Amino acid sequence: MGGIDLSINICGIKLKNPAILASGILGCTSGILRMAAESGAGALTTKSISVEERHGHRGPILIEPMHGVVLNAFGLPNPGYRAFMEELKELEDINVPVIPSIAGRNYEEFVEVSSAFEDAGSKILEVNISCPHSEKGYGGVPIIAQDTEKTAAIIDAVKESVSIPIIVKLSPNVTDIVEFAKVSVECGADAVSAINTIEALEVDPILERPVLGNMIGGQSGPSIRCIAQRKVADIAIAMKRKEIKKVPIIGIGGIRSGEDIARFLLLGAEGVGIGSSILYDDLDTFDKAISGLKDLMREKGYKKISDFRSNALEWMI
Amino acid sequence: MISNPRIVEIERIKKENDDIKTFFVRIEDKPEPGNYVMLWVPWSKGKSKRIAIEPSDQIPISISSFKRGKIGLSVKNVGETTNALHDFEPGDRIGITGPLGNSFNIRGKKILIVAGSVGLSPLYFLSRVASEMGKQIYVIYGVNSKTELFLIKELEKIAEDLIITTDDGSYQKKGCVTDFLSDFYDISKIDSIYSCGPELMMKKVLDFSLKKNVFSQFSLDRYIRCGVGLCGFCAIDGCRVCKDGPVFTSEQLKGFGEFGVVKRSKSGGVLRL
Ligand SMILES: Cc1cc2nc3c(=O)[nH]c(=O)nc-3n(C[C@H](O)[C@H](O)[C@H](O)COP(=O)(O)OP(=O)(O)OC[C@H]3O[C@@H](n4cnc5c(N)ncnc54)[C@H](O)[C@@H]3O)c2cc1C
Ligand SMILES: Cc1cc2nc3c(=O)[nH]c(=O)nc-3n(C[C@H](O)[C@H](O)[C@H](O)COP(=O)(O)O)c2cc1C
Repeated sequence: MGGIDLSINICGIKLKNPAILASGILGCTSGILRMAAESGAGALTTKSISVEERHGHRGPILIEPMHGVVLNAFGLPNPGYRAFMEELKELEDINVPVIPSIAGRNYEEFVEVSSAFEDAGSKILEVNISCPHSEKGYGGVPIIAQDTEKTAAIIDAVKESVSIPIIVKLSPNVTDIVEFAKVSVECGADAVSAINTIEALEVDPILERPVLGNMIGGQSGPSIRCIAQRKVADIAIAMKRKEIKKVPIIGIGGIRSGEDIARFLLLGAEGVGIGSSILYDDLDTFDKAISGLKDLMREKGYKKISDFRSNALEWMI
Repeated sequence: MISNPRIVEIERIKKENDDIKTFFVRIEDKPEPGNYVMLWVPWSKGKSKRIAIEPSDQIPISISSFKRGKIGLSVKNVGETTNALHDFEPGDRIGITGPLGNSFNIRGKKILIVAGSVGLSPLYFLSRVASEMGKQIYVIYGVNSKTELFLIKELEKIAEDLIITTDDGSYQKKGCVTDFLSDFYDISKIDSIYSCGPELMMKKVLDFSLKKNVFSQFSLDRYIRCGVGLCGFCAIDGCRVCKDGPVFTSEQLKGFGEFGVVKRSKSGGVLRL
């Protein structure tokens, strides 16, 4: 360890390092989740799981129009929570925390899935209210995370039915993400994660049609990192100013290296999620990023993350 | 970097049999035997106007040949997308991502191909490359019935020996490929085995090759979504068929609890084989 302690604590759950596998990446089967755990991730978020099995959208479901610009429209395929419980059982022996991500169309479904995970022994949940393309095609209907009332209704219902901590995953596709962080925390969110993918679209000029099978999708990857940093900072500043109760923030979006992790921690994030970068460094992503973070801390003489967390935020308050 | 699907014109279409057509398209990167592409059937044909929104999907298809910058994609009509593709004509456009995945490792002098049904596709490409390298090619190829056969004439040209099996006995030997494995192997003194086809067939080939302790590789079939190792839906045990595969060695497969037992549905749920 070289005298450097990378551990963090999210709602009473200890992580050996702040790099969490983001939801939807490698997250559906136990075998590959185990590989992600062995590759050094501090925690694993599962694919978002719903009540019934979902087949997701037609392909193409993942494209990279320009380097670092990743677009996806999976449509939340998953086997449904009953089947997914079997995958979780397979993971009982790994000593990396697993964070089930839950999805639903209405509060009844969120309650059903979250209760099932609590009953199965999960210690924490991520509530995904922010997938920008879970329904088919161009609906024009706001998703839950774009509507404060719907957001409140879901979080209230989940908090009433489970006693384990919940992380609410926020959407960047709103005018003021702070408003949504505030509603979430007021309804009892124990932590927030940000950001989910950014609404996006790609067109093929020869075929004269959208490329993604679902037409519209969400952007992720290195191209969204600076946007995600701004969103995380906005929430962290509101917490510093006591406009919102302080809860841990998990920063997600385009993170690839140790320096990227540091950037989010410097903006006040408790931990970070890593997803699309696995395209570039594959399963070495976690190992590389974590050793990069350690090197950076060593260079700066830091022994633990709290030695520098929020330092960049100070400039903006 | 995976880019957008590259839009290419179908240059030629060869009807192999009632169910299989080979589509020839130009590609930028040189493929290796075992590679596949994600083939986007956009269903707007040559014209830009939308004919129908569906079916438009992207499916994994192995490369069955490579000559002068053009790949062959031999596609069996089994469902919505492949059915839509079978209506395409030369000049119509499709999208190609790839070549993707790993490739076969050609070892030894005498190689045995064990193919079932459309699983012959990647193995035909392998046979051609191996033949150009001066290897001796032995083939056992099985289908349900005579009408499903394809690439037979081409195989006859490059194979030292070719056994064809049909389940219903409508062509050559009645039975399945694995019934003839042992005889063929002993007579021909094989150095390595390559197999692709129904998984239960490959499981038998795996058991055989482990017993004989011969180098062998298998091209696996799982429901592939992203094609680049990000989503994890095509995992078998801890490996992703789309990126760590589709080709696996017998050494890898013998440690896989899921091989020959279960695969995954479109939703990621478990399906018994
Ligand atoms: C690495 C690899 C190489 C392949 N190479 C060839 C080939 O050279 N020639 C060929 O004819 N077929 C090949 N296949 C199988 C081919 O991908 C499926 O037959 C095709 O996707 C069917 O699409 P569909 O919409 O017509 O069928 P559907 O109506 O969607 O379903 C019919 C069957 O095809 C399977 N299937 C559908 N979509 C996929 C998918 N995205 N990935 C895997 N399986 C799918 C389904 O599980 C189902 O059993 C290959 C599969 C893999 C994994
Ligand atoms: C292929 C893919 C699938 C995803 N699936 C989910 C999902 O099921 N649930 C969810 O909350 N977020 C999902 N996301 C969003 C990521 O968790 C993450 O918030 C976003 O991609 C930004 O991080 P990144 O740039 O590191 O990928 C998905 C992203 C990608 C690229």
